[in-house]
Amino acid sequence: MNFDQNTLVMIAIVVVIVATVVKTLLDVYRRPKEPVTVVKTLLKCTKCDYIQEVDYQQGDFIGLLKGKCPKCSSTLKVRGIYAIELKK
Amino acid sequence: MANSSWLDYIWQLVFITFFIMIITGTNQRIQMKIWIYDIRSKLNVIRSYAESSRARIIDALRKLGAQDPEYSIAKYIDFFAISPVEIEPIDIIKRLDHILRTEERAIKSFFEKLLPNAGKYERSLLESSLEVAIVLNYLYKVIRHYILLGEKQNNWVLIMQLQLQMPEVMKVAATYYKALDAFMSAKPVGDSIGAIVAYRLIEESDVLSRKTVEDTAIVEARLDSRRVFIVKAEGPGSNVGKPGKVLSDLVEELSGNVDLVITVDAALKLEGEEDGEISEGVGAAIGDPGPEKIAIERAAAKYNIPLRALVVKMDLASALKPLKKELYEAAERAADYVKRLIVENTPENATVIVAGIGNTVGVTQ
Repeated sequence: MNFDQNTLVMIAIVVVIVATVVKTLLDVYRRPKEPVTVVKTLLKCTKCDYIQEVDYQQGDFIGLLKGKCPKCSSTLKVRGIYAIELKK
Repeated sequence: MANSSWLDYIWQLVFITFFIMIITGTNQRIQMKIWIYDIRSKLNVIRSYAESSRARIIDALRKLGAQDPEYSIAKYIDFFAISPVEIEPIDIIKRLDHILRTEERAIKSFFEKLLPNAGKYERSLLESSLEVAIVLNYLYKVIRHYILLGEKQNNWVLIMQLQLQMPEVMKVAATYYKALDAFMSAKPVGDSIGAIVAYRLIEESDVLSRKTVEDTAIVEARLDSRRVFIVKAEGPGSNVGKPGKVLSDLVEELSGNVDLVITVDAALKLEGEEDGEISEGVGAAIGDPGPEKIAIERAAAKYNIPLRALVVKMDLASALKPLKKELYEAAERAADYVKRLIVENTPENATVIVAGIGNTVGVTQ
């Protein structure tokens, strides 16, 4: 098929317009990925400087006395509860 | 017919069609249909959030032994509070406070009747979860109202406005839906930062006495040779307490002999600011509708007590979702900041009140 110069220009313009519209729609409707998070409980010994980060368990709260310190056998206390993002 | 000739006819036809569409407004109608399709698909997501949150609450109620939780939740899901008359400002704070307390009592009493054998802690978590479900249900109904109205009136400007606002609406809906997980499992959220700061100060001081008034804990302690009263909502359930009223009563109890009042709260950041940024200022850092904030301001103004504020910046999503590690670290820094403020602004043996404002879910005292 032989096209004249004007027709080729028009086809090129249409292709550019369609590509731009498709890209815009993809940008609009593409949902950003939500980071995956995991909640951790930070335990601290009430006597020594021992600190341990463990997985959060239902019922944990800041100030809860939970478990024994492996270093000095004193009680561990929940110092913090926080969510951390898992690396992709 | 040469190739170029029939293509020329097609182009002519295409341009004439476009021209007629623009003249008759058909292009706008097509655009409106595309917007409506998009809004409806997003509305379905909001509906799934609303239905799922309601189902999770019903499930939790059933596990705690509630009778016919579907009926009870259906009755309360449209619960509302009407704002007081604003064109007559006399005693508006009193009227607003009365309405807010009535609302709070109604929801508390609803759960007490529904779960007579459950503890205060479990009930408080479900109260906050129900509030989240009410917000999601309301959001769904409002968006559905506008899309139906726009279609009914063929109002493309209304549809366009809705379409432009949908990304923000979706963000808010997703945030509330995720907040449900935190409230149902009692994990501290970003808004708990004031309570965490208060708890850290309690932990690092010599506690002299503790009492609880109106779901709010008051801890008297010695900290850096000062007499410090630490006020926070009673935890670890989901509760914001009555810090304004309690602080005001405490100031009266001390006959105004207070050298400094510090409020600590989470604050919404501006775009471009970092999560966990700490800012210091003056005034009452508390995001309530009015009664609690004005109680603090009046008490401080009556006895000329310096009123300092410390806020930790975050966005709405961070305020309602489980506390991020960056914000937990900011809470640790904020507690040190408060201690510095006390030492720098008061002499030894001074009396200071520190109020950790916000929801105390997952934080004891």
